[in-house]
Amino acid sequence: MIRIDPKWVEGLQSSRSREELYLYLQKAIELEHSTIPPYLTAYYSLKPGLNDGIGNLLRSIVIEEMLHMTIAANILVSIGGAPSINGPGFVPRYPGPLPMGIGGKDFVVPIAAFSLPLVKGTFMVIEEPEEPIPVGTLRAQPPHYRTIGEFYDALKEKLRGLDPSAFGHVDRQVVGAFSKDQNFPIKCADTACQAIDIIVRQGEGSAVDPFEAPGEPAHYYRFGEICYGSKLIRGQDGGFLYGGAPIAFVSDGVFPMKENPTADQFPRGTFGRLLSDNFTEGYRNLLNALHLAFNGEPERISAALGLMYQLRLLAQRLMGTPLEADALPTAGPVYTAE
Amino acid sequence: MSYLDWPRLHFKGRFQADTSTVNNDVRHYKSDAFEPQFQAMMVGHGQGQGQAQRTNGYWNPEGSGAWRLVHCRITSAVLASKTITSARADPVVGMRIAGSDDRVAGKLVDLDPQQQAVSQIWGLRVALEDDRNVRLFDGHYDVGTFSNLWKRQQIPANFDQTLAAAFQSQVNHVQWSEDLSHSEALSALRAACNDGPLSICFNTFGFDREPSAPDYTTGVVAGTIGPATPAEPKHFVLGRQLVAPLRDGNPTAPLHGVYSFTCVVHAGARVLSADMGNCLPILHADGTLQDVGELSLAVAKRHDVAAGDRVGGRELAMIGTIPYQRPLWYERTAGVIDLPYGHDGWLSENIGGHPVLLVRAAPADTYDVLVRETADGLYVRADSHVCRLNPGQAAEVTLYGTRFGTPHGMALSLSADNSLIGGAGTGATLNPERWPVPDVGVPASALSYPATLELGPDGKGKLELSASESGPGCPRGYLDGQVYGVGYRIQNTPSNYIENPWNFVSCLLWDAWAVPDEPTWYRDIGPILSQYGNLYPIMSRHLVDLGDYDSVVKHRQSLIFCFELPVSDPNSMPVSRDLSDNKRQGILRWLKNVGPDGLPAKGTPEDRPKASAPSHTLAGAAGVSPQARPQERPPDPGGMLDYLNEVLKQQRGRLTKGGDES
Repeated sequence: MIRIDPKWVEGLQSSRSREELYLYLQKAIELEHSTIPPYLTAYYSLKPGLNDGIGNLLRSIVIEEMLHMTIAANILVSIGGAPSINGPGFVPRYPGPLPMGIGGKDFVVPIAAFSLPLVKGTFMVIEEPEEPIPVGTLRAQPPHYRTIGEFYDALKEKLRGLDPSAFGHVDRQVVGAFSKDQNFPIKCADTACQAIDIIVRQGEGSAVDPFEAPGEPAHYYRFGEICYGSKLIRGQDGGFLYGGAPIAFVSDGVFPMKENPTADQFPRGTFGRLLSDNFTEGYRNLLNALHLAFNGEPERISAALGLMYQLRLLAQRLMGTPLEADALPTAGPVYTAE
Repeated sequence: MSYLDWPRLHFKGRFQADTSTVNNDVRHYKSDAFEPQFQAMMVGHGQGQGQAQRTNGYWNPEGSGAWRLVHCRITSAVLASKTITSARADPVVGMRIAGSDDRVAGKLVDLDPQQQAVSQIWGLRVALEDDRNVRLFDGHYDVGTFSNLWKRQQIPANFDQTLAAAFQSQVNHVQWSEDLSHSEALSALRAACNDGPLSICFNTFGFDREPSAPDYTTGVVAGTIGPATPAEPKHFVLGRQLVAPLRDGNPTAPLHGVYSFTCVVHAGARVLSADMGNCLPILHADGTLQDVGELSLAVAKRHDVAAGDRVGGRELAMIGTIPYQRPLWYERTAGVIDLPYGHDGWLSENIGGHPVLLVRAAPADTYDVLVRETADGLYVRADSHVCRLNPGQAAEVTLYGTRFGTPHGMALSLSADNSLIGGAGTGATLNPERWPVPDVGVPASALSYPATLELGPDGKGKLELSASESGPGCPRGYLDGQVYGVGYRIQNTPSNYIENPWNFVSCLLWDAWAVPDEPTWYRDIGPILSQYGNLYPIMSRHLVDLGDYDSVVKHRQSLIFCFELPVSDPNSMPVSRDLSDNKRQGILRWLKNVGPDGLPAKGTPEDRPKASAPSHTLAGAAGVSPQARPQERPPDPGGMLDYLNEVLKQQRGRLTKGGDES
């Protein structure tokens, strides 16, 4: 992720106490969450059975964003903070900017059905590394602003500066919801920094390798695979190119969802409104479940997982429901905590 | 104590029942004959359109099973001394009755396609919320089963479900807000509960099954919440039971237009409280109460008064009239009414031993008796009356006997009663009928229980129902287990005694199934999961194709998560709660035992078990070609009403044949 309002990195760098870090970790949680509704919507908008290749990539990215949110929240819990996940303002207003000025203040993220321009113009901007490794014809832009990488670097430095006794509260952390090597308890500065490395690596890759794990490109490059219709591979010359197995995109295989749906997309008292409200309520319940999970009741994560299944069903039912009878476009999910 | 005590809250709003309807027809369980169109929306639905072509997957094939309270608000609070109907008088009025705010919605679950008349709500939360979404109380709804199902809506429109029913249960583990001081009613309710559960009863009607209608998948709900004690029955009120006589033995058709209901006599306060929330007929889906004349509750001075009689005023002690035609009456009371009777000395002395009647005013100081209390005030009911049993497992059902509402020792007879279960599930379905409908309740030997049961002086008795170690032995062939109805009757009741037809225990017995050491997809797990895949297309279309090995193994972790949840969890799989313990264990073992390739064992297609046929089928239901069916359309094709008509028809057939249920 590139372009972050410098005040967040600078503020973090000048913080002096454990308590001052709470704000920045809370912001990290909000940031990691803020990409989930747009990514999730794009994923939901793929009709079942069509575009499975793209669907699998989107799904893998969404799951990792949830992991990143979990990591940030666990670190905050570990140093004695209380994540706030269901408060007003936690869910950004879509279409709108992401938290911490990600991508610049004019960068607007919509809630929209999957499209190649959405991936290229929005998702790849969100995930762009500090210095993207040239792939095929892609060229990196020289960075001249603060980056999210710097933010996490600064966070690591500050966490390392804390007294070891500042870490703990393992029984209040959410552990085991993802694979063990990625979702482990934050017991000390080392485990916190390892976890942050996962966030950065999965999101951006390293400075020399776009793969965060064998066969697993970082988010930016996974979105690149979707845009260029091929898996990322290492070429014979040692460079990288989108020249592997094809990733087909069937344009008919996307629900024709109207961009940026709002609560009043259907009039009150209609079945469509009920579906729409059911989704919004389900998402709010998800945030409530997560809030409880990170505030002393980690077992609540199971209810959150259950809600994820229900949300997919509700979203796809909405996306299959025309806003006006026998016409396009269809409705879509509305994310709000209020 | 129950919701018929004080203080109580009344609420009204809507509910959503997003039930899946592919599983409404038992024949859709026959996986080797399943056709894709059984997952499609029915064609030509709606009453009186005369163009029905196919039932297909009926009116909501993509239903998720979710059951939700929608826009429900408190309409009044009733304390012993006063009734509050405005938020100015008490802020509880207007507050929202809501469901869960941190997990998925509850689920509506049929026991079986051949017993759809005891649907249950699982995993529901019930909470009271103010305008700022602060929860004043929040608790867990104990699985509730609907009862007293009847044809309440008199004028059908579109594709309304004209049947109505009531759900009574308790809300447990109630968390109260620390500060209730601003609401007298809530403070009083909490004090009355004394950290115990809440009693809740709600009436459901006007359910809309028309996919193009704004109210699709929703209906009206009106209910009452009051204090409860753990010691009392959860699913009915120990009180005065008025049981309606039936037209032609049809349990959905009260002979005199008003259905069965319950009253409680509060002797100390000299008040009779009646719950008429589910017994008065409505005209339309919106719940407009039909004008059936001037109704009153009264007590008969003679014991031999019968429903249908016209009696003189002097033979009755009038308790009070039911102002059911008054605007907002139902909205504000959910049909619960308190009638003081202390003004009448005879009543004060005799109400405990004479039958309560619902009467309609007739000319010249006479009254028509519409419904009366059971003869001699005798009544017995099983509290929880739905059981699911694995082979070798036993269930204990508590029965409560009363006489004029007071606990009463009595002797009961128990016997098979399959009169309201069985059939195809959708009645005279419009789908082609090419395969047999299994008979129910056979073999009788798989379920044992005593032939008699003595209820003690406290009116209570425990009925133990035991499934044999070997289980029913796959009598239905293409679906697991068997359903049984167990009737319980008071011995030596007076000759004019009328039973509530819904008072029987419904049991689903699962077949024995040995958990394989190394289950494989083709041989063991595929046949189980693909049946669910057929019946719940919403899963297969949007989450995981349960009939496809690759899809299932891709979602291995999610499936382990859902199959391991306790059945009380709303996310538990399967949503239908119809999976035996051993099959669940087998599925989990298979999902968790991965081979060197990291995947559960697939086996080979040759291992597929052969399809088996039911060992007992309903004569006349099998092999009937669509052409041979009567041309006229049933009144509610594929619907509950039609299903019940069909069950009754078969039952009469059985009786005329002298019974073939061995």
